[in-house]
Amino acid sequence: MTDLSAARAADATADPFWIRAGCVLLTVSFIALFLVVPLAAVFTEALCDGLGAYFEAIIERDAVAAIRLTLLVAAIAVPLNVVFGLAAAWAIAKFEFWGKSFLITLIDLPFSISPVISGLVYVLLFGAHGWFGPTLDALGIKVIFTVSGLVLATMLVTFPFVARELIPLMQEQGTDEEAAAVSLGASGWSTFFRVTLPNVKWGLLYGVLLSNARAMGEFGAVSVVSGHIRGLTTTMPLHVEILYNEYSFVAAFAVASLLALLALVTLVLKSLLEWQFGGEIAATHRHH
Amino acid sequence: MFLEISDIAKRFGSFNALKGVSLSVEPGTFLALLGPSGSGKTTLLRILGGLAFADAGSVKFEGLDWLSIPARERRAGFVFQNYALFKHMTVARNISFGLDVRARHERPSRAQIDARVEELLSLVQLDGLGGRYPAQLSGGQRQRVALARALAIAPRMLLLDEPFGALDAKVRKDLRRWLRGLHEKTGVTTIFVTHDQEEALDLADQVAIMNEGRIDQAGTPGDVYENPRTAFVAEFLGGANVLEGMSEAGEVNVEGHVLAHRYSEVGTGPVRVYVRPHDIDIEETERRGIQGTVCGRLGMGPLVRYDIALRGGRIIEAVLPHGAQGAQPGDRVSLRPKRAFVFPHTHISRRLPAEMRNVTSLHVVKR
Repeated sequence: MTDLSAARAADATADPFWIRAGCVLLTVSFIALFLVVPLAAVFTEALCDGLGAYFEAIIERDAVAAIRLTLLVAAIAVPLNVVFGLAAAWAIAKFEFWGKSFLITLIDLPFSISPVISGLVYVLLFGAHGWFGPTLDALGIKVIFTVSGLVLATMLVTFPFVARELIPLMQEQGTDEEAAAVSLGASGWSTFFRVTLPNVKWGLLYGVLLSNARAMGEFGAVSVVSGHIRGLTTTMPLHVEILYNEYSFVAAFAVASLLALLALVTLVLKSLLEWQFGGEIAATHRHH
Repeated sequence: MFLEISDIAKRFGSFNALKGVSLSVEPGTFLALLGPSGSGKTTLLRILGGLAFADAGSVKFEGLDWLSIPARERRAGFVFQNYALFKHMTVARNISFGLDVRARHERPSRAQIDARVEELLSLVQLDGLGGRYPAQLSGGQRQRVALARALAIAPRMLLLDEPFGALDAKVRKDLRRWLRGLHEKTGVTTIFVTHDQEEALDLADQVAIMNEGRIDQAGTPGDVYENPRTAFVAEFLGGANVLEGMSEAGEVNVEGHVLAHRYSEVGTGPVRVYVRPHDIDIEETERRGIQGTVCGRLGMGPLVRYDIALRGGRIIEAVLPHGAQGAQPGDRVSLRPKRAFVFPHTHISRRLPAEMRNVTSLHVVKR
């Protein structure tokens, strides 16, 4: 009798209470230790000399230049990424061709190599003694230690984000809707803008948010190509490093807090989108 | 000829999906492409719709070289098996899509498009549902939206890929009747693909039976059913029993029984004999006919189905009107095929010469 009631109480899919509680506790303490505490530390350090010192550090000339450069790099790299990601995902998901799986592996490459190497390859290619460096130099084009170099390095590091979001989504959706659109008389552009793009818009937005966050926060690759010319080629992460090395902790943490804020804004935006359009997002994933 | 398909061939890698298909279709026909999966019927449909390309062959449509017209200019209303409705658009925008994407100078005004959508919604009996999204509709409703969307472009032909495949039995039957009515109303030449023989025979004016990339036989449902021209058609339609036999000097001997009709055209040698379940008579004597033992009896309303084991172990299915036979499981009986289709063994699933048609089927004179 007691056995029976015990069996009835325990749902087949529910684990005992202590396992569930343990998992939750472990997750929460892990997040607290590795995410919340450091984040709190950034803001405490930044504000430890008061709001005045905080804002002073932010509106300082080089800091403003770093912020503007970071925004510029992201503003160039992210749209190019969107174009590339859409093209790559479209090709991979909607067509069959030889070497497709190799291409997918290549797209993942920036995820698996160290960002320092991503920066270094551009020095090797475009540096003063690089493969194309002397030629470009003769033409008056400078890549290394300039904004173009920063954009190139950022693009290399961030290019998988949009493509990675879109490929599985487009593969799952198949080509039937596009075929239907064409049979109804739609042109290629019309099919893309009226059918393909609306079907992947949420995935695309995720990809943009993620690649934007990475583009603004990237350190390794841009550090190699930047040359650390203060006020000219230092993005926010590089500026933070310079300040930190100069023992200007408050200023370093103040700029760092902006980057942390950016990450938080990205997360909030993503959650807001999911909350607002959850039904529609689920619907575009669903098969009929 | 209205639509003339000639020698269409299509290969996917090493797989020959279509091995030279030819077919003529009259205007206003409701044609079924019937065959098992892998027979090439969907490939043929997609080629007609411009969604796949033929490796060889040609299609003439009202004198036009149909295959050279790009898919978007063919105005072939294609209805996909899974409907492929645009998930992010309302039902109304789905239906008007074909009009919305026209170049500005060809596009009807907004009011005209809206009026057309209303008209189509009422034609497919979805009045008032124009504002819904596809995810909010039932399977049968989605099917009808897909049809309305295809009809909106005033299609020159309607191509339906397994139109009832994704629906449950009840909805399927209702929709079938409704689609037949819709075809009579619109008169659009319609070609649909199905693997369900009952659906094809019930719905279509013309049936083309496909087997391994070829059309084995095309004709009216009555003709293909009554006069199967190949062993494949005989077996595929009507769930025929298959028996092995020997033919000699026009006499066909099956399991010790000589069929009443002479089959001089099948020549001498082993043959396959196809007998439909309701073309078999059962007698409780052991005088003549194929000997067997009743091993199952299943009443199905007005009909009774018998499973009869022959001496070799083969099970034969016979369907008789209720009360026509009193045999019970365990009884020894003799079977007499009233009608049989006989094909030389070597010709299995291959086309017979044309002159062999018709003569291969027979009606045995009543006892």
